[in-house]
Amino acid sequence: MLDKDKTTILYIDLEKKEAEVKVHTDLTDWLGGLGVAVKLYSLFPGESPVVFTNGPFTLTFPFAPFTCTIFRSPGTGKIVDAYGGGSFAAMLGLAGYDGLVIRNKARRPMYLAIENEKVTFRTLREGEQAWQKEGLAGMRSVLESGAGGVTDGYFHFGTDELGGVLRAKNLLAVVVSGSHGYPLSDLAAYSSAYEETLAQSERLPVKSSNFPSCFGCPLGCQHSGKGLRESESDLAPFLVSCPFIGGFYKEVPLVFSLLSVLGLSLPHEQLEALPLRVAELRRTLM
Amino acid sequence: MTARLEVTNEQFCRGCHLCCLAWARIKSGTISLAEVPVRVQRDGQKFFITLEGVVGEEGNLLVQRCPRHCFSLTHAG
Repeated sequence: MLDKDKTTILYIDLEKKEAEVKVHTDLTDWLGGLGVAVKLYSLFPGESPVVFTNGPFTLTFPFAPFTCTIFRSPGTGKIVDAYGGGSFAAMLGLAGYDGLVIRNKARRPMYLAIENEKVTFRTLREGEQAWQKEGLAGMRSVLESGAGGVTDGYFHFGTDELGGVLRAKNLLAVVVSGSHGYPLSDLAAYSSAYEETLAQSERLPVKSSNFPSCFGCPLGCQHSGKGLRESESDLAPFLVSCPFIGGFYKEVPLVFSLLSVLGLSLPHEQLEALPLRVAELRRTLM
Repeated sequence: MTARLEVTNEQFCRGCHLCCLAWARIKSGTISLAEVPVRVQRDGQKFFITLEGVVGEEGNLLVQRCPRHCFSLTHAG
């Protein structure tokens, strides 16, 4: 999400074992997170893909480390959005992607290894957990789907259902490693905005603690591992910011100014209208 | 150049990657995940971190502390 004009999505077809990268030029006004995820889901009518997205602040500003995912609930048939902390969103970004769309079902249990542009489909023998050796050391995130949901190490996605949905696709794990770097057009302005934002950590309702930290967050708070099912109707799910930091990223002027530092200039009106616009599109998916 | 820094509290890295991000900004002016070349050593009852290549031309430390404050660092020579 660091390219103001392009949104890069990795499409995976588990049945055909095919990976395709598409660079979209018409997704930037969906901002990121839930907006891009719902729009991507709408591209596959009649299917039930699982979509993962990061947001414009995932790699750039603190307190926005979450991954957004949407999928169809097998229980209710409704589209569910869920959010997990950790580093999956960041590693996806560092691998060069703003989103991951997983379609269809693998014939046999398998895992997916994404290392920058390289995508590998690996079939598993019963009980095998070979994904644990995949990826670049220190630059990887491992999503594992189990009966207790989906976890990125210590971090949970807030719903047990997602684990069942991915396992029904015969997808047991996704390993993402990213080692790309993004140049900054105005390093001084960015660094100033970054330090100013980071300095707000003591004013947040969440207190610093000694639990594992999400990517780029100094807090290591007691909530970090919980995840969240179903977001509120504000800007947080579009930035995929931490749901436990209160109203910090809910103010449109602050979000607008930080986006501007990154060269992403969505008009105020467009930002304010985004939750309603996405809710309307989402209703058509029911 | 290498800096040897004493760890003055007893916490451990929580994996926030703030040091990696800070180091990448300094090193290459990019948002990326630079590997911070950290080595933790024990010397008696004290722990030391060795940071390689983080000392500027004037002897100042470019990464002076862990941004999450897991490690409080003092220059140990």
